Amino acid sequence: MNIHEYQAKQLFREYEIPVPEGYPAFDLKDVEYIMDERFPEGKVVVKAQVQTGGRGKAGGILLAETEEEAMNAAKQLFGKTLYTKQSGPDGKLVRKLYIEKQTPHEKEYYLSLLIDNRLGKCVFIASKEGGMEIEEVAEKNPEAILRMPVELSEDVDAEEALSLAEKLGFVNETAEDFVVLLKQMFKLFTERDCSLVEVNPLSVCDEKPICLDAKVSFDSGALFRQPLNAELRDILEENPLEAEASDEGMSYVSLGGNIGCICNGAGLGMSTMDTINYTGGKPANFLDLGGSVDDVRANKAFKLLIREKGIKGIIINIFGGIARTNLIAKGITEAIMETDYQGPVVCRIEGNGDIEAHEYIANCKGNIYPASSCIEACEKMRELLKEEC
Amino acid sequence: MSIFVNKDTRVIVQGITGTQGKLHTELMLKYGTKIVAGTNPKKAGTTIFDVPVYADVKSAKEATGANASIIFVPPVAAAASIIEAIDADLDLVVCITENIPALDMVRVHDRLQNARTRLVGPNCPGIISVDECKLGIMPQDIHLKGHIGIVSRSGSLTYETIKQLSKKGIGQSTTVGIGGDPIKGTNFLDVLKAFNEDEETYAIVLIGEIGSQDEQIACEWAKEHMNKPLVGFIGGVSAPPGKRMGHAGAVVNGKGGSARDKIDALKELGVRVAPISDQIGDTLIEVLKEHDLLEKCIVK
Repeated sequence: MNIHEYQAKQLFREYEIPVPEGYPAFDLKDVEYIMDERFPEGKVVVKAQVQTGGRGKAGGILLAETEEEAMNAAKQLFGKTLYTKQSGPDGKLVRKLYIEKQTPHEKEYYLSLLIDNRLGKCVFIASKEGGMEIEEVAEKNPEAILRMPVELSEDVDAEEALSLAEKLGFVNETAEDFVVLLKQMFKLFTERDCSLVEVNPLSVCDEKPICLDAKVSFDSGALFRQPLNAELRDILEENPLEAEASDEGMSYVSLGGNIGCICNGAGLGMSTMDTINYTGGKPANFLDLGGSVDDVRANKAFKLLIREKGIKGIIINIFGGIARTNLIAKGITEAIMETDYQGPVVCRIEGNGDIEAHEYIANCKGNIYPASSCIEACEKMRELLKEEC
Repeated sequence: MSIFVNKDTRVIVQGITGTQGKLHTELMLKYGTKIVAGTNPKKAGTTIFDVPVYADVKSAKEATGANASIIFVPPVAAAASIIEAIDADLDLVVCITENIPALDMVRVHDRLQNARTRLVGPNCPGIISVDECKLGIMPQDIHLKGHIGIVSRSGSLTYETIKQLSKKGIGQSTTVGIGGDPIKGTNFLDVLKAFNEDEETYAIVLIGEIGSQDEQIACEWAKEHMNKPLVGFIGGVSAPPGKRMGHAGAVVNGKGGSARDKIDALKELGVRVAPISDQIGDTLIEVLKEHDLLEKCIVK
């Protein structure tokens, strides 16, 4: 679960991790107030608050020397859609801004803390080459990336941290402050169940390290014990179908194609969209109905999926081990009759309860066809949609 | 023979009194699994399906001589349950629970170092050695005893594959679901090593997906050390980068994590990769034929 930069920086402040002075603005009045009351001398950065990387390149971060410039920047950004490498084809609409004091600095560094799954440990990653994407650095200059694992049962080791500071070229008080910063960041990470804390760029101003950007992601599996994390969720940043599905216990991902699918199990979900792809179709989504699925959830899944833009046909691929396929078939066939969806639905349903499931399909008056395998279902769909795809 | 579990495996069910724990205890008992104890700190002294319930794993092990456990405890207490089983020095722990916080799994990972307990999972369907022991939640009636070992990150695709094989009369020795989480106990490499030593296993199917480089690591080892044919499948060719596809570990981020990267790497290492899941069975048959193993693997 991601949060905005302004929220991440507020968390940094709570953990005494140095950030420049800054304030979130939700409309132009806020910007005016912030400029008048907090930054009468001007010299600010106006930053679009959207949860995607590459905001700067997409024109989402503007420098302003005066209040007038800040107001103009804000007018330009509010309501603008930013298209970045990570934003998807729909882009990200700017609804919030962050007005931050400019920080004069020379060098930019990269710093992050995450869980290295292969090591099974928390690891700091740092580089002198900040300001650009770390993946790019890893590709072009892998030696520039420094790594420091931390034992969860211990704390950040002061000596190791000092050695990392030296490798980055920090000396004296700057190095000491950097060690404190690492300790505080580790504290934030573990106390708040983060999955990523990233500072890009980190810089040095008046010999003190300072975080010019901040990205924090929380472990969604730990929300049950982190009520404060859940409060920081911005539902408007999420794909509405994905958010709704997750509230219903399902996993959903929009993929932009025109053949939808409903499956049980993440592996079967992925292989179904891959098979749609393999037969020359374009998968519209990934959908895993989740464990303990019944007719109510299957019904909701169908109604949710048909709201996806541009759906021409739907493939149902269910293998019932413990899940009862008859309930899934009941929910889906009822949903077909309850909605005005007209496109073809091809069902491959096998396993626990499938005889009854096939009866539901045979008796359904909708545009529905049976299939005996996933590939057969996908080929049938291609045939049915021949003129449209 | 088989790997990890067999007819002598004596099982404790941790969380036997919950809905899932109860349901699957009954199903495992029906399959013939020797479930000798359950745990629940508040219900010690009671029984469920004639299985005695103890307060903790240690006392359950002492009273019954159990050597393995399966965990159906909710995420909030699942990591503590795994650590309890490790502390009781069991040989094997299978954790079914999904959505355990990642930092809890880091703690479990730390505790597993220098421990002799094998953890399978979390977020997995478990292990089955056909007709001997089912330590998991897989459906009962799709299996056929035989000589193919299966290791997989996905439950649903494992069932698919087993069904394809059984339909063609090709039986299985042991199936291990290692689970869909990024930090887990047993990985592909551990299972391949065990299958390589197992006389009853003639060939292996490896079912992977996007995220991590665990499939490549295992297949690199196999190229050097394994003397049995290996067939692979990788799910998520059409998954966009950075998006989590159901499983917590199924995210393409970084080098080697995409399905395309994995398929290319596996092919490079001499592993035959099925192009779609419906063809895993046929791909295996092709490879078995080439190794003159098909007849030996058809048991029905």
